[in-house]
Amino acid sequence: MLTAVKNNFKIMFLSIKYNLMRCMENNVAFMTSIIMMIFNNASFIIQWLTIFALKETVGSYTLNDVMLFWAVSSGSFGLAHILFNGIHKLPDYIEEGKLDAYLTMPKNVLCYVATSSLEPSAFGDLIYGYLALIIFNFSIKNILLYTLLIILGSLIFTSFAVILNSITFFIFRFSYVTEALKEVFLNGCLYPDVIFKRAVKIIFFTLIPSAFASWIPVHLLMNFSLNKFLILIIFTIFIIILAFIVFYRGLKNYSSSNLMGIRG
Amino acid sequence: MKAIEVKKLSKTFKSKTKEKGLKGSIKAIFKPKYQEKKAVNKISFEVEKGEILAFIGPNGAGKSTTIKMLTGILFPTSGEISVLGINPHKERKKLAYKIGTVFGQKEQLWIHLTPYDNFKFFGAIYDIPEKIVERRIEEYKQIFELDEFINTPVRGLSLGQRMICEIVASLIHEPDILFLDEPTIGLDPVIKEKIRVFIKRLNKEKKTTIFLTSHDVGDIEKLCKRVIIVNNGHIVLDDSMENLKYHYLNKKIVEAKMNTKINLDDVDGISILKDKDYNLKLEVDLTKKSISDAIKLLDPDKIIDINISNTPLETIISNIYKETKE
Repeated sequence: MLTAVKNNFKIMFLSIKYNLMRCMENNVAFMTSIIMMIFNNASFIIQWLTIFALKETVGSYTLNDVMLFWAVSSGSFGLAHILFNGIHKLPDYIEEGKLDAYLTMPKNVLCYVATSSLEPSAFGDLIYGYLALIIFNFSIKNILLYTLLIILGSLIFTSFAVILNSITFFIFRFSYVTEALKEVFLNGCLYPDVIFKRAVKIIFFTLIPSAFASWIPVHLLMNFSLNKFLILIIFTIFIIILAFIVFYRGLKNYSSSNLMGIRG
Repeated sequence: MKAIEVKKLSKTFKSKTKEKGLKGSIKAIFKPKYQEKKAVNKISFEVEKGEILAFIGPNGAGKSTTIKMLTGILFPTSGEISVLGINPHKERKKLAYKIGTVFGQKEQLWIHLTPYDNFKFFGAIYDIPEKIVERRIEEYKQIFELDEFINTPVRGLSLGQRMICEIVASLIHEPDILFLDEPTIGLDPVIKEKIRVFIKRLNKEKKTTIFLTSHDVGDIEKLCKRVIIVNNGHIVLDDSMENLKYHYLNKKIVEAKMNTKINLDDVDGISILKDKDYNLKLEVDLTKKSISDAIKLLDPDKIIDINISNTPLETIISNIYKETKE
């Protein structure tokens, strides 16, 4: 059992390494996409600077606090797309029968699919996350805690994406809806919890769990609480298990196809 | 011992249907209609260990669906499957260590990596110690003459070179059964022959069971001793290649070059396929007429050259497809 887990991690590590090698085939494109993503994310600071020029706080949050939401969201989102970007291709894999290649291997299909792709611009998100933290809320403790929290955040975001994308096993061409829901998830992460009404907050704590990927981690960075941290850990484990269950249930409905194709 | 046992295996696909045009698409949103298609319908067969089996049929017959159920890719709707004593959809990972798969229409290799790196990756997937992987790569390098392209990224290889690499990658863990789904599709005759020779050698030396689907009659004729023909999800023939030829080869083709133009009409049991200048091509139905009847009909004194051959296997198989369709 332990050896099997170790071997699965070895394959995931190798896949990520090979994906990285693929990205680096064209260094100029790779570096440009990272820099452009950092600029893209930074452009949103202007929006918040304008708001804080008019008002000292939003709810009880200062600019530094709001930037924590951006740091956590960008970092989690970036890490998720570096390590597990294959999940976002799952609807295509299902519709075009590309899961065949993964299903004939003696490894965990979900883990193998997740690490089958890497989004180069996600490095820009990750770097931006660290920059936002260092510029607005620097401390060694924060950096260490932030690193742990974005790992959990990336796992929550990926698990949520697995659940959404697995719906394609049951409903063909559902990816339009899942993409929209992923956007809602991300928007929920980027904006401070205080601006949302109670009903919306309930949604972000349940159906679209942005609160666990961003709000709780931000609160932990602002004021660490062991209880909240344990809730976060328990929720992460819960959503990972749920993602596996939904994916493997959906896999029974996989119908493959005979489309000609190559591994991307 | 049996390598594969299949009992009453069925697979049904449900698909949405719609009327033509935009109107049909809008109607389908509110009133969706579904149709069920039985891709595989209660088929049963067995494959002995060490056998080379051709599993053939026209497009949409259910070949690939069957192979995908045998390898654990698809869940069957009903029926039983045992591959090397393992139920593929219950113990997919356990089975994967013992089988190899090559899909001619789908690539499993990482295209930006070299074949060498790909083989190492596949070795890691099957948890094979590095030293053994190195030894096997070296072995296959000799057999397939991989030297000239083993360090070229896969995207730079020709289709034939890629297919050879696909086969090597699927054999890196020395599987007991190799599933080949149209492995020679689109390949030139030289590469095809190389692959066929290798498959034969693999079967002979390592006793690997080969389960082959192909539209290439050459693959079937040169490799397989047994053939299963499927059509519309049913097995329509399960016989040895020898029997297939014996039972269906009741027609001969007689091609003759004459020294003078002769006029012939079809007679019962002998039909004229071609009549151009001094060349004649006849098909003789041996259940009704003999070859000597055909020669007598031509007039032996006027024959300059004659060639008598069997009906090509391709024609036999295509006739079986047509018969079972009707």
